Amino acid sequence: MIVTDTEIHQYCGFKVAGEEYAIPVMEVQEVIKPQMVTSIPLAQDQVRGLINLRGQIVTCVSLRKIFGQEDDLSKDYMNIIVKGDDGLFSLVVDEVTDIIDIQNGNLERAPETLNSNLKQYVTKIFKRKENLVILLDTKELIRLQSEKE
Amino acid sequence: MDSDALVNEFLIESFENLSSINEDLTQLEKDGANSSLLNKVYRTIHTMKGSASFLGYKKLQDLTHSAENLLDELREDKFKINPTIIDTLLQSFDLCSVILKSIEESRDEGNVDISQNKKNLDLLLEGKGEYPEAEVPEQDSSQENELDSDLTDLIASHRENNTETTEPTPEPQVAEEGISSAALDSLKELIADGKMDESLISSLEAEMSSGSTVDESKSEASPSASDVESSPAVETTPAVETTPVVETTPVVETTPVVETTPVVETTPIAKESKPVATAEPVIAKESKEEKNPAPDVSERKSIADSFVRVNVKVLDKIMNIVGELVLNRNQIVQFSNTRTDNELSRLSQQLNIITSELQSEVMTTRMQPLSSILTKFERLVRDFSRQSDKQIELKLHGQETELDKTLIEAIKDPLVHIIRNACDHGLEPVHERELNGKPATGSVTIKAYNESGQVTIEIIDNGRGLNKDRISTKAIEKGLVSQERLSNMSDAQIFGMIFEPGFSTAEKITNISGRGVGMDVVKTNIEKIGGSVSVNSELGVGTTFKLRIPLTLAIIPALIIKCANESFAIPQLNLVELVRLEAQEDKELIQQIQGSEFFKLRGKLTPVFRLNKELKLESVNEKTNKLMGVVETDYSVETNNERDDVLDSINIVILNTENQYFGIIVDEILDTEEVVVKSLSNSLKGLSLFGGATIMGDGKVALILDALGFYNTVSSTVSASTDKDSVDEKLQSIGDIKGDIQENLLFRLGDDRVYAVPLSVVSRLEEFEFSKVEMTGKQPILRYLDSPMPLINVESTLRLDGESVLKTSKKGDEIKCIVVTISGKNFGIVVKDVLDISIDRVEIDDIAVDRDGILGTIFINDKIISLIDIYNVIEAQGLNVTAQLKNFSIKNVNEKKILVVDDSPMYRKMEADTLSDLGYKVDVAVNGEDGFKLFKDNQYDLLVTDIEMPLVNGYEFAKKIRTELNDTNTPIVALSTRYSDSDREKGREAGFSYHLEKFKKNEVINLVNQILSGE
Repeated sequence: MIVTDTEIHQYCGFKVAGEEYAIPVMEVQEVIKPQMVTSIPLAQDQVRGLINLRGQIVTCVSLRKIFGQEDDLSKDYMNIIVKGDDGLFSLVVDEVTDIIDIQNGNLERAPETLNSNLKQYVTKIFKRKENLVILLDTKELIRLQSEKE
Repeated sequence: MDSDALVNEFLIESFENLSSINEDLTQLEKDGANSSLLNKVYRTIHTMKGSASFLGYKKLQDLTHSAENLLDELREDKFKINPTIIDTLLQSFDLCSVILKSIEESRDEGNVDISQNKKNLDLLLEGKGEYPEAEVPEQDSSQENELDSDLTDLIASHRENNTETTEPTPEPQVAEEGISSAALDSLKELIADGKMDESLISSLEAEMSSGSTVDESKSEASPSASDVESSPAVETTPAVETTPVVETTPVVETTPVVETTPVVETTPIAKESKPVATAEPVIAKESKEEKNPAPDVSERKSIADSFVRVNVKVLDKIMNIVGELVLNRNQIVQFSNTRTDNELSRLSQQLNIITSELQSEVMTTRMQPLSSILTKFERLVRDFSRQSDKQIELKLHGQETELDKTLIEAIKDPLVHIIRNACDHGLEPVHERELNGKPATGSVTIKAYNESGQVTIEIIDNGRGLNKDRISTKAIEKGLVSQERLSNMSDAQIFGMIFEPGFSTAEKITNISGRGVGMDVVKTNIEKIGGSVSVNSELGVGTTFKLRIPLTLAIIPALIIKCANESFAIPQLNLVELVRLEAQEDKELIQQIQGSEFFKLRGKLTPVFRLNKELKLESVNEKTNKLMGVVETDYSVETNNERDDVLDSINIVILNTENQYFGIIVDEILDTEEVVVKSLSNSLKGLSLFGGATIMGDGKVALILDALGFYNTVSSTVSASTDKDSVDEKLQSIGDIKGDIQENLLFRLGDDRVYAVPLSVVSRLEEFEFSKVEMTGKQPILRYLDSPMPLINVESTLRLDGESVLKTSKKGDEIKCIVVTISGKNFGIVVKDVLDISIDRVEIDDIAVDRDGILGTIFINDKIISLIDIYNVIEAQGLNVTAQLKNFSIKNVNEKKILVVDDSPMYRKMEADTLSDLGYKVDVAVNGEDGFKLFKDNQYDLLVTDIEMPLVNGYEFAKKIRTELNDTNTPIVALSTRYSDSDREKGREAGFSYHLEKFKKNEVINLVNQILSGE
């Protein structure tokens, strides 16, 4: 696909620990409220557990944990359901903000000096008037290979 | 599946193939360049040929073979497709159809003549798609059509005679069915032109009925050449009346098939009027064959139409949906159980039954008999047998056993591999077999049967068996195992090593096996589908491979357990039994050994794991609760031990995987349920302890524990060894850390205190009637195994408080005694109660020892227990036998130095005490390494060593001294409970000078005295 600078793409915006992030809206299957979570003992730290989405097993991944922060268990959160190669995943985020229309021309490369926890997941950065929106690579987020270890 | 069923399958397949071929061929005629279509036809024919040859249908095979050859040339573009080729092919396939029908009817190919058709095919092949000029074949090759070609000739020759004939002779054409269409066409033309004369018809008639030659009929016919209707020659014609023949003709114009009926009708007339003997069979045959299609069509329907081919994908989807339904059923049933509505529970009950039925039916759609692969092995074995100098017979049992289709596919290759191995490596060549007195023909038996919810397949050969030594050597060579570990391995474990990656004992590579694909692939493939494989073998007798395959993967029965409020499913397959420990006492059956817990299950030590601890469920649970906003339960603050006290019972789930028994301690055992296995995401697959997840009745996700994965995971965190240790090895490995595992028999004496003796000195536990006790002097004795056995009153010997049972018992009471055997003599130690056996790491503390006869104290389960020095107690009896023991110690008082190496503190002390009593200087070491250091730095006259020791064992210790220090003179005496011939042989090789059974005091004393005094 040839991407022109003026082409508009839609992103699903969400917040994790105060920062705003976004992933392409086409990769999002749905957004759901907190569900009964079954923890997976001994699983990677960022794996929050499994939920039952209409008979399908969904693996929940905490973005807070991925970005090297602790889960704030007292607060509400949202599940962004995305499709992986081998099943559904839920990205656990603090809140879902909005659908953001972004022109490719307005995107910038991620700065080299970016936090190393974050860097591997970041594709581009969108500079908005009021704040920055960090665009994430969904595939990388659900790969679950904890390189930290 | 028997051979009849096989033939049916073949028929169904072939009829189907033929109908598709007919379609394809006509398509091909229109679109000659379609190579994929051609390939398809070729493949279909090839398959048919293969099946036909397998089932031994010679004609079919020949015919399809020729057709295949022709198609092959076409496929390779040697020449182009033309109508002649298509016709010939179609004709051949029609013939195939006839043969198949015959097979369907009578299981026999019938006497259809295929030679002409085959010849035509071959001619076409030679002539590059055209008939060679010289050999224009007859129009029809099938037997019944010989007649038609004669017919054509007849017509042609008639035309020659008839000057009015203006029509050119039609080009030879190949008939499709029944009587040659070419011949019929000519006939039709003639009739239409009104040029068919009566004589021709009569001769035709004659020809048809009698099969007589053209010339004959012609000669008869020619004199009366006139119009059909008005001919007087009708009467004169010897054949038949004209009328039926005339009736025949219009029918001929319509379709060739219906045309057969009139011909048949004419037959009896023909027979009457012209009873030519030779004609009969031809007619009968013709009529039969032409009649055949009609009834056959209906019969074919009965077989072929009762089957529907369904794409496996569709089945998979149905299976998935049924899976969902099962889950939903579970939820509804669970929900209805909480209600009191009768109607609801009735409905849910119904739903339950229907769903179960549906589920099992859907399962069966995917089930296939194993015969679908097993019969293929006949060929494999036969071929192998032919290629090698072996005679091999394949025996199949239980081919009808059914298995899920995907599983059948999955086990095919592993089975091929095992069977090849059995033929190639397992069975001996004929001469070798004869030499060993075995029947020349070796056999490979495949047995399949259902067993406890799975299918077991055994592959048994009666060949040479696995060579344990060669496997061991090879395993060490390849670095798969250490010598030390090997010596502790059971036979099954040694055989099991052939499944290790990189292991192959085949010395020479044949084209059958040994191509670098090892048994490890077999194992991984079988395990991938949730099965297991094991091998057993007896040298010279044979080898048995045992595959255990689950029936299906999608829905499994599982036990639901709860731990720290989380539900888990454990596949029923691994479940052995459930144990519930109620009273506090029973909980003592769970023992701690070096941080690991063991449960004594009917006397067998079984490792047990606390699920909440192993899975770190406390913290997880806390997290979940917070996640769900649930207030923390009391559970999460308790420690494991506290919880045991809070809950009034312990539930242990005993599991078995790969012959490893172990227990899991869980909070609650709920119920068994059919669960639908949903696989976990690949990124979680690293967690081998979970086999997947399922959705419970309440809609919550529950993880499925994989027994093998769980065991591997938890045992690796305990002892850092990833392989599946047996309990013995486990004990060994725990022992390795401190090296002081000791088995003690605990008993109670008259003072109600607990005492212990080493289990190794105990030979039996007995109960006697008190009245049987007799006295000689003050010594109580008992007749035991036909000799008097002194009974020992420990209480009085050791001047303990309390009275011995010997004193307090009355007539009629039972007394318990521990029989110990020392120097071949039995002694009965009378005790109040025998309590238990403790297996524990013990540190003998001798600080508090205030009298002889007590070795020291040990801590067992937080209790102080006195360890009795049984030798001392017996010596103190002042009996004659023991006096003999004492004698030894008097005569040697010298400066000879002895090093005693033993990891067991009790034996070490006993050995050291015994030897120093003899007047020798004794040093002690706790293991081979320790001993080696001491030996290097000091001078010893004699070494006394144990064999099983941590770090450096007795064998290695001796070897080190003999080789590293090059010391071959210092005598080494090994004391061991391992006293078999092979152990002693091993000991000799390692460098032991003497090998004694542990611990026969007077033998040791004798030997040591003998060695050191130079006697």
